[in-house]
Amino acid sequence: MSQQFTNIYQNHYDKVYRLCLGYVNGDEALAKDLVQDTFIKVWEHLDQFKQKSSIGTWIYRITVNTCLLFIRKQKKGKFNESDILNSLENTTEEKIIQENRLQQMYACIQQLKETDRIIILLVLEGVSQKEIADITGHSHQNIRVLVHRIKEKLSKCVSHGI
Amino acid sequence: MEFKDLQHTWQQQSQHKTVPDFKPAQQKLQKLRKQQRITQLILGITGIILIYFFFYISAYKFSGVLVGMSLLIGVVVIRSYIEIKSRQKLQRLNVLLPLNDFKTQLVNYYKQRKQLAFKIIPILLIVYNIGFVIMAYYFYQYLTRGFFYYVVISYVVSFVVLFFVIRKQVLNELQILKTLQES
Repeated sequence: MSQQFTNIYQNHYDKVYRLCLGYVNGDEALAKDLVQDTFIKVWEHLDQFKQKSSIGTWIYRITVNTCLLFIRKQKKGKFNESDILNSLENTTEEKIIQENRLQQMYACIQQLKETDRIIILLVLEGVSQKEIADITGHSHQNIRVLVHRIKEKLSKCVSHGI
Repeated sequence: MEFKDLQHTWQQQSQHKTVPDFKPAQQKLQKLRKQQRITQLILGITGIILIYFFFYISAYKFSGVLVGMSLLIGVVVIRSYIEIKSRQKLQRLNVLLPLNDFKTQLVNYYKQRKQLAFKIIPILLIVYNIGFVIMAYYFYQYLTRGFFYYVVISYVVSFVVLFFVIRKQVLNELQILKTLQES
């Protein structure tokens, strides 16, 4: 395995994992399978990376496509409460609030349409709108409108459960 | 609630302290590739043997049994070939494209599967049944009554089971197509 790939794998594993985890409703086993599929594709296509975008954007592109491909398995991820909630790094009182919020977030993300789910997960990861436009193939203008709409939908759902 | 609060909560999920080793995945992939090559080789050899067998038999005598058997075997071979090609096509989808273009590829793939389900598969099922009816004529002549009814009933039961398995698969794929088109 080339050193270049090893570095990429080490540096990008966490963000790919978190995106996949959000996509499969916090099901760790499914998320790990998706991450593995993603990096197998990265490994196979690494020589085709043309540096037109950053390596991070390129990996996200493969990740979101691999997530979309997962639709064929028709599996609904099962929220793994203990693992995810225990991962929060906060003090007790704030932790409870965060736990409830995170649980609600996972549930609300699952209610979104496939591509909306992918876009909001990229936003939650802090990926810039320009990069999201590059990853999804939407125009920057279009992505701005889309992101605004999905953000509102998610905030409303988490606050009011709708 | 502000969206930035949600984003903050999301990003607070901790990171992995150790990243899993990638080697097992790499080995799994190599093993899978090897298995695929072996499967293709076996299918190729089976196909050649069947073609050889067909010409060998038909060179000496042409009979209803041969026609019936050819239809039954032919349908199974064609169906397997179509399924393998279809899977290969799915594996070859270009994951380097932007999400929208990838989605278009995926939608087209499932549209083709729909065509296959509503046009090709019914024809294959009809041909398969014709093959069985031809064979049943000979079974009726050469087998005992009891065994003949056993063969016919077994065929009907397995055909109904197969029909429902295919139906379930087709409905799943139609649902996938609908979800993709709506998103």
